[in-house]
Amino acid sequence: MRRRLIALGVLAAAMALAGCTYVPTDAQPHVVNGHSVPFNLLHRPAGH
Amino acid sequence: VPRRRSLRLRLTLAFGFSAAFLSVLFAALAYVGVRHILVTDRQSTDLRQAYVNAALVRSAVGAGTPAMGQLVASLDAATSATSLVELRGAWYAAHVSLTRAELPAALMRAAGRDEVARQVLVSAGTPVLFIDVPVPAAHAVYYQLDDLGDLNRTLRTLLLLLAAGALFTTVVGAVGGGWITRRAMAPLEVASLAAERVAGGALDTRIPEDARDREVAALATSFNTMVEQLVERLRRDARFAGDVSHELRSPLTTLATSVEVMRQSREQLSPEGRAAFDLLATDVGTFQVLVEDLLEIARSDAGASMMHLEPVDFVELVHQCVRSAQRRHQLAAVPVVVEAGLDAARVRVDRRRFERVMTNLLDNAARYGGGATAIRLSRAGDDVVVDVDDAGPGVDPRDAHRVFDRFFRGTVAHDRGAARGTGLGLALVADHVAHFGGHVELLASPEGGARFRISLPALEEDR
Repeated sequence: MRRRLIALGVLAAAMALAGCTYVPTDAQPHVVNGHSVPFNLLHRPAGH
Repeated sequence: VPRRRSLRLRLTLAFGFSAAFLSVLFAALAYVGVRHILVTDRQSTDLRQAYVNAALVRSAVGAGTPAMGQLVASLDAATSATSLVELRGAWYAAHVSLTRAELPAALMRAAGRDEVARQVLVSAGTPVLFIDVPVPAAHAVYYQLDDLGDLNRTLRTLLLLLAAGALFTTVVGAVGGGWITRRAMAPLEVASLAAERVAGGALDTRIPEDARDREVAALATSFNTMVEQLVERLRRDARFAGDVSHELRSPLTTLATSVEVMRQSREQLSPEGRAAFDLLATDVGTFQVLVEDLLEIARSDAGASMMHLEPVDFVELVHQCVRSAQRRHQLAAVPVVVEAGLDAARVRVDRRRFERVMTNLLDNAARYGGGATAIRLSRAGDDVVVDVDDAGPGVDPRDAHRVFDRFFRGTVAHDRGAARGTGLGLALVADHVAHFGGHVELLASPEGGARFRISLPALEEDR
């Protein structure tokens, strides 16, 4: 019984911690796939 | 076996914990899922917006529009995000406070590699989504910053709602579990109460067998069958003891008669023969009393149906029984002390058996207690009480609760020199008094001897 209680407590604490950061932050930038970028924005004209 | 907490409490707790575990689990899953959807949705919206704005910057630079500051201001006005443009080493922003120092270095490095990237970082206590869109054709980089504080507030509200829901579910689970457990355990409590009543002597106790649930009905049937078998067994035992005693009575009467005939020729016997005859006569007498007592106890075991209970005047009854016992058994006279408040007291007893009770108590006092010293009648609450005091040494406290057991003899009675009883006298007293609805107990008399106290319920109308 006691072990089950402790397990539940740990689970609740983990969930509470996870909930502290409402919007998750990123340690590194996420690079967006080049092919999905519209308007040919990443096009580098010749000679530049 | 160490006693654990009550089953009901444990089941209620188990229901509560199960409800808590499941509700917290589902709340957490719902929260994580909704957060993922909201954040992803916001990121793709912001990214689309950043592409459009970057395209506008490229068009403006291509058309040779020099007022980049005005363009950035107009971009900010059209969206909720903030824009920052780097054009050929110069920086343009609508907000004065916004500088390149605000931008994450890793994101700027990605822009330097001509990569579109996004990153969420906490800036001034609030999460901000940074996006860079390089525009190599215009030698520019478009940066967009979106404050996600509103998303944080939405998620906080969602979390509070889910936590409240989980708490509510837990409470409902525990309360519902308690209710279900109480309902489920009710038949068990009924059975336990019935078993207690049976153990207390109420052998007519049965559990109603009209339960709707099959398991409960089966429990009731088994319990009732068990009690019926127990009652049948008791009846059989009592009948056997009665039959044996009855069968023994006739040859014993013949023996006793023969002894009486032989008594007339006792003086003609040798001294050894006389001693043997005296032993024989005494033991035949004891045997007769024992068989009579066994018969009486068998009748008592047969139940209250053999009793002839009738309401009688309490004080008069005791006087009559004491006189009769003294006359029949040649006992010394004992003063009967009647306290006030007993003038009209009536009890419901079987006269013959009550006389037997008084006889046995007086006989017991005469045998082991140096004779009865007083009989006191009094009232105690709803009961009337008869105390029989003796002049003996009292009873060993270790024996006090056993003197009413069948065939129990105290240390004094084991002495061969003392007049021996059958060991059934006090057991009969306890049986008969129980049939009258009262009880008997052994106390210490204030004068130093033993005091046997009989308490009987007084009849309603006399209270």
